[in-house]
Amino acid sequence: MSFRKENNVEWEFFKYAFPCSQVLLQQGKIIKEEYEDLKMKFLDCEAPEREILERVFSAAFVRIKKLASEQNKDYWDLGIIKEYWENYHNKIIDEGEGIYGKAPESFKDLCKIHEAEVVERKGNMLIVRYSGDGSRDEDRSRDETERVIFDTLVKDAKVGDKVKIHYGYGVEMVGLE
Amino acid sequence: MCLAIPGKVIEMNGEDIIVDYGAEKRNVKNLFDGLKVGEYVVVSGGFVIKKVPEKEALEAIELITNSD
Repeated sequence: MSFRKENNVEWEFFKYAFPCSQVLLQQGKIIKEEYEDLKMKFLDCEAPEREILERVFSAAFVRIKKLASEQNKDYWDLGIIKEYWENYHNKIIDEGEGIYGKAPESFKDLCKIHEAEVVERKGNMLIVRYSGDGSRDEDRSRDETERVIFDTLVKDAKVGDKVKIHYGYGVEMVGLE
Repeated sequence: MCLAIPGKVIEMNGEDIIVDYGAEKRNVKNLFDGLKVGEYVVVSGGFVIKKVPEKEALEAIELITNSD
């Protein structure tokens, strides 16, 4: 019931994009009211209209359009959007596009999508671990990275489950096809 | 581009901590074991979501400041 938007292309884009919008707010690229509108939609598992998504997440759409044209498909094609978040998005960051070329590893890591394991639940927050983010820190072992995420879209996640994460959110459960 | 802005932990009282962003300070929740005053963190939705090494945090702040 809560995932009534499954295979809805706007939602498929928005569920991965929303976690980044708090950074857009922090950097003044969107205003508070716009952020609150996006958040309300996210909590309802609903996506805003395409025009809004394309404006707020303009950097992502530059890349999505490129990916789509390479495959001679429409950029709102469901397969293109899924492929963007599954592979292309991380690849662009690893290749060092724009500011990512200079960004420290632990920050690029926040922008990337990871598959992480739930190690603890605290209320509606999950503590997850995934393979090291490659950051430079002589004092600590960096074989594993720890993140705290909201369980908004992965309410059923239990310790030991694997989830896809972006910034401070679990976006979907892994292996529940 | 959306690089997160880090802040420095300046006060801790159980799960309630204060993070300094230079221009402002924010009260947020921390669920990480062993977080210490002086460490740098990234916050989202009022929670610390990640600890970041100081060197990288300072690099990120400089990058964000000079990119606009």
